[in-house]
Amino acid sequence: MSMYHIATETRTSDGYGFVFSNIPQTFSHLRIHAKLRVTNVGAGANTVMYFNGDGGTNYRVHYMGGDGSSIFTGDFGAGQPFAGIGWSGNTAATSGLFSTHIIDIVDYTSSNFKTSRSLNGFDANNSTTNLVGIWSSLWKNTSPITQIAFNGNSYATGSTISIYGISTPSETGV
Amino acid sequence: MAISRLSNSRLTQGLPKFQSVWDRDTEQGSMVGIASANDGSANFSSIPQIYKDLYVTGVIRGTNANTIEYGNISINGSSSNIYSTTQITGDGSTGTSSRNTTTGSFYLGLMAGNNASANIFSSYEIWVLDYTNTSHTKTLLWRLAGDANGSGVTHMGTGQFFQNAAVTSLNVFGSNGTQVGTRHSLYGIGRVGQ
Repeated sequence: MSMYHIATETRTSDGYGFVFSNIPQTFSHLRIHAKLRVTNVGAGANTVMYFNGDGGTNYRVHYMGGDGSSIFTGDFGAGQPFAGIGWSGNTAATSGLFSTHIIDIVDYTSSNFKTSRSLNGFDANNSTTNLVGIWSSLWKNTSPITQIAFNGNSYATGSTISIYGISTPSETGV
Repeated sequence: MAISRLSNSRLTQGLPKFQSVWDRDTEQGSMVGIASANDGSANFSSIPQIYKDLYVTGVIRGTNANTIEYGNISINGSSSNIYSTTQITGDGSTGTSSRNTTTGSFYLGLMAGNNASANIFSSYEIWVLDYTNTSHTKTLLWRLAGDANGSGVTHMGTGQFFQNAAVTSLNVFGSNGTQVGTRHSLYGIGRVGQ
């Protein structure tokens, strides 16, 4: 397995953004590293992504996590308008706190539906909002993924997202 | 890496993609091996400040006289109470979530100890994003597979290191040491400024 950098975006001011277009169709899988801090919603906010500009009711999201006192699982229900990538702290959280998200989209060019997965967490060093867990999201669309947008939330300065392509020997020739 | 018989014109025009060009030694892509450590604690120091993120993976077994024991992660050699951990753990019958606050290291999870059956090691992986950034604290994310064939856990944790300093060293260790057969590998992912 080899990872190849595709693109990185970093917020230089608070705001919406993080849209990655023209994703190369030459890799087997995608891996995304995201360091995020939301500004538009409360601590522990759900953070989301969209594929190919689709904000329709074509997603389903499951998660399992813990907040330091209990463990829980959930299903957002049928017909969600986004894929989930985990929870994030917000500007009310500890100064300088960012969440970590490790996201995989396996076989993103296939003609089947796509299932993404995310490992995620942040510890705010307080007794109110600390979350860690795993997320899965189904996108009921057979199109290859050519665009990924993380613009459902406003993110703080310093938030950064990197996308990598994962290749197999047939692509690298080695 | 040794590449012979390259002419100026070939370099100007760019190299065609031939399998034989790669020497099977030079690192490929954006995940680059930095260091490895065997048979003890990770003790990765002088971590190059040229990558975007860090990834650590390994197998580990402690020396305490228990079937399972605590594993730990520390940053920049600090044992001060500047770590906080939130985690979820499943032991085969019950799932729990707990926190360890204001501690002297991160809590990696319950890994195999000296009294576990022979040849059993726990497996872990750790991510440290934007580790060179000096404007904010660091959030780590990790998971541990600590199956000891009858006891043990599967574990996932996140933690905050309450310092803005860049991460220049990282240790993964047992409370009283680690056994022969323990392996740690450190990778850099991406590049600063990409």
